Amino acid sequence: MKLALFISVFVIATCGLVYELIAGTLASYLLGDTVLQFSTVIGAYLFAMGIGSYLSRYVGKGLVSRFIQVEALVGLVGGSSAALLSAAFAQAAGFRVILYAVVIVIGTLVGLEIPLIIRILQDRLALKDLVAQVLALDYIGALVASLLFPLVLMPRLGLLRTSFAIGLANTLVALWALRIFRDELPKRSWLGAQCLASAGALLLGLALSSHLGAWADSSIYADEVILSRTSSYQKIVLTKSKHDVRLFLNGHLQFSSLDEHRYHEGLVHPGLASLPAPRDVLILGGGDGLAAREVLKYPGVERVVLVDLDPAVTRLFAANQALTQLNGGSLSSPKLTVVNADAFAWLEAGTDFFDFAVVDLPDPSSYSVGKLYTTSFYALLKRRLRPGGLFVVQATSPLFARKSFWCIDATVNAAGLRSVPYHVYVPSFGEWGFVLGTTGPYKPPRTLPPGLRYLTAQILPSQFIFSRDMERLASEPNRLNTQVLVHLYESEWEKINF
Amino acid sequence: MGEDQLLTRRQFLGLASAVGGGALLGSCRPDSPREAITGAIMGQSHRLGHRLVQGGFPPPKRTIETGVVIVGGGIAGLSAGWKLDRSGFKDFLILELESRFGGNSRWGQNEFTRYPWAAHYIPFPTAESAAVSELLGDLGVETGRGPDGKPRYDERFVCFAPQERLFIHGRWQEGIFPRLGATADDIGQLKAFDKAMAGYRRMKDARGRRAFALPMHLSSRRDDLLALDRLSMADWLKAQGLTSPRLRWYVDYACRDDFGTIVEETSAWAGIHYYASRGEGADDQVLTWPEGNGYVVDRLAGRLKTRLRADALVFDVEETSSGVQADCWDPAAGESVRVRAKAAIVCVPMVVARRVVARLRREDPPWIKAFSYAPWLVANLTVEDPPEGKGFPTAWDNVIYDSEGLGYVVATHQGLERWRRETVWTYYHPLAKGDASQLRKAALERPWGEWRDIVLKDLSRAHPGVARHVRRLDVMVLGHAMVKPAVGFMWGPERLASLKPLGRVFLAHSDLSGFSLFEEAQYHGVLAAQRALSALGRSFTPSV
Repeated sequence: MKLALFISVFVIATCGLVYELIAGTLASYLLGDTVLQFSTVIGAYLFAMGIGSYLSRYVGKGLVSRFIQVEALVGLVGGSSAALLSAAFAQAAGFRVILYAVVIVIGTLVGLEIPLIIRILQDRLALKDLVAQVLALDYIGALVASLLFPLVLMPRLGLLRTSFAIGLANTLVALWALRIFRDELPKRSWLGAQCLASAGALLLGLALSSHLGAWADSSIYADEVILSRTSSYQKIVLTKSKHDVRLFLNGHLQFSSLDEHRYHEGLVHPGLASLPAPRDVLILGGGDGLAAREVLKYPGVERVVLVDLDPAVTRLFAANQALTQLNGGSLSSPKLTVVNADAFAWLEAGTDFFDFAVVDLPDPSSYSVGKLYTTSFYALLKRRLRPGGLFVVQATSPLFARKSFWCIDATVNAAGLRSVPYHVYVPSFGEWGFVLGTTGPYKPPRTLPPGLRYLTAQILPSQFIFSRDMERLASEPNRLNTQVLVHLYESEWEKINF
Repeated sequence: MGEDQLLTRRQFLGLASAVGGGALLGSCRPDSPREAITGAIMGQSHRLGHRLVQGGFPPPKRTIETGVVIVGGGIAGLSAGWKLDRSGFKDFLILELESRFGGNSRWGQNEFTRYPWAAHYIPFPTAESAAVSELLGDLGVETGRGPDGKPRYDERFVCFAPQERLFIHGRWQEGIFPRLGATADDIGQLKAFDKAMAGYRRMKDARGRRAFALPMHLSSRRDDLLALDRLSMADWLKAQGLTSPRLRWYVDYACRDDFGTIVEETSAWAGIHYYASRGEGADDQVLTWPEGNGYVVDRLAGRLKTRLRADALVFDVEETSSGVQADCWDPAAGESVRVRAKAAIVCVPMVVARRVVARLRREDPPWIKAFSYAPWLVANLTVEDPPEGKGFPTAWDNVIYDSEGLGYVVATHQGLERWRRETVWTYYHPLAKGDASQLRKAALERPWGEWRDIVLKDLSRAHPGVARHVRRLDVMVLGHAMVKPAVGFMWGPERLASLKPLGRVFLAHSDLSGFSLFEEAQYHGVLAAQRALSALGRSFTPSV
């Protein structure tokens, strides 16, 4: 029995510190400013432990029963704290209140534990030994927790599972105590039911942890998350509401099924329909297969090569039924070849030619993507075009990021092409811009393929006209050694986002 | 009593240590990833150098004839070969003691990338650096001239953005000057410093020579400018009232980075030269490659292939009645070989030349001891999922504030791809603080494990837990990496004495310029080749 109680003290101490670390970690993850979050969480927690210790004096009879209840409760609250706090973050304003409330509840319960244990054991041995050993074990437990948490639990289990598993350990202590003192306890079965309920809830949480991750996501995204996957390159999230499917990469909206036709028709047809007889088309990026869907509307196109970095995206959009419905199964077309490669390196290595190229890459928000918006990149792409061929670049918003848009335009020009800028209104993005890079004279097409939902030959000429607030700005081209575009983009979108 | 205790003392201690030990053991694996790092100490020049001091080489058994023998296959030696070859003179041999050519521009390679072992960039050449321009044009790095008459370079070789970042106050900032947390006075002093440097950059003397030119030989000889050599860079800053500790760190960093000397021991002439000799604005850029200046070595060596001899330790260069002879030791064959030629170009540092060139050995001129050298430590780390750190993203050159190391350069920075799982970081650390010979001795004796810990400790300041990402860590100790531009040395009598001709033996090394720069090594190599051609009565178009 002594050994059992010893182990209990040790487990309790370990669990107690892990809860504190979980709250501190989550707070610094979600709110930033690690020093502030850890300091205030630790402070609040220790203060609450003091409250718990003080409150222990009001526990009179039924000491062991109260102890078992405290264990079951601390297991339940502490164990679900990570899930609780992740979910609470969706309501950003109330998050801090919930955070400190949870910390104080757990701290108070943990504060009750040691005084109760000491009192349970006080008749069984001398005070000096009792205090010495219980407190020593308490501190060893703290050391073990502080090592286990960062080195074993977090890397192996992650935050959610760690939290549930530690809660379960607390509940097991409750069940164990129940067994040890089974002969001394009144209302044994009622206590047992409480412990089992707590353990059951935690086990359920543990089993559902991976789903809870997605659920925590969905509180960040507006709609229901139907798929959440992390590839080597990015986090892929699909959401679905009644009428709408949305793709997010690293939290950035890529398309909404409600208006993506505006974007993709605008991206592909002004360039491709202007060519008399295009046969070979290259798509850089566009792993969702939506640009490919538009390209395949030209029966004369014999070959489409789609180069996208992330096989997880192209596989998803080739296999998932909801998504192949959206892209018309374009990625499975016998005309289309998917290449999972880095666009720049792929362009440099290849030797075959194309009539038309679609450059549908993420916005130039970092130096690594910024390389794909440089004079060197466009000059290389030009080398892969047949005489008279042209390419189109998605070029961010000429309204929200006017300097960035015109910088891309200047870059295409500096690469030895003639740029033709135009824009399309896409409700979920706003006013959106594209730049054609042409090797020959360009005239907007008079005819478009059948079956379009947005674009007509009549409306097309108007898209080459820029209103006053989107008019051309003189800009220096974006080069590999300056990457001016990344700076422009960052400063312009910073103003819009918050 | 024992019965009344919760546990006996022995039980308690046993269980406590079992639990505690178990937790520590469990944590041991992820906590000591440095044990999993492989690596070695590379390079062997100091061992061969030692062999040179010992002497006792057997007399040569065979004799080879050639037109010009070039001793040393670094940038000076390869440039001499390049100039001879370009002038239509093909009858020469370049002898290198190491198994690989390149000297301070040596490079290495693993399954992911090439990487430098020392010099890793060339600034855009200025108008004075005609020979460098000629070389870069010849290699296709310079692709022509723009409408403004300025040279155009292959964009793949112009250092990509972002170029530099600095780790300070727990985060990375853009650029090397420590702006994060700088006071208005710090920034004011930086501006004053920049202004003074811009003044020197534009300054020309009555004869139209730039105050500070590259190659340095073309600089103005005006007394007030040369007088700067008698001052340390630290004293110069003080004399200008530039006392900001941040500015001092910034200038000290530049001195250690370019010369391997601290600001207190660097000639103010050399220190100012660093800032005032190069281009301005859009011309203040650098050319770089994954293997650093090893790119130039590789291209030149490819071209001169048939005339290169590696693993050839030249131990004696003597002028004869008919020309010169160079005796070298071939460690593989275990024999000495004599190379007879009409002229010799000796492209080794003075510390080696004084042992190799017979006349210097005999005369032992006092000036030669004035050449002092800075030892360096260079490490190449193969890094998986390289940590980015907080703040400004990973740049080409990543510097840690207030560290004795210079930070690290990312070998794959000029890669065109967006994403790379593995890269190589080249970590530089001049052993600049203290007595050079003691530092050199200690560095050469230090085992690999200690170097590993020193390198990882420094990098951990900016990247905690970096050891988890490192697969391999190779180190090289360059005992005599760079000649020191010490106070009074740049324009003192000793360096000038070293420029005096030695008959048909032509010295060519950046040592002769007083600091170890690519441009200076190339200048002396080309100049010596031209002198050798003249001595042989050959015609050529001068490059310098």
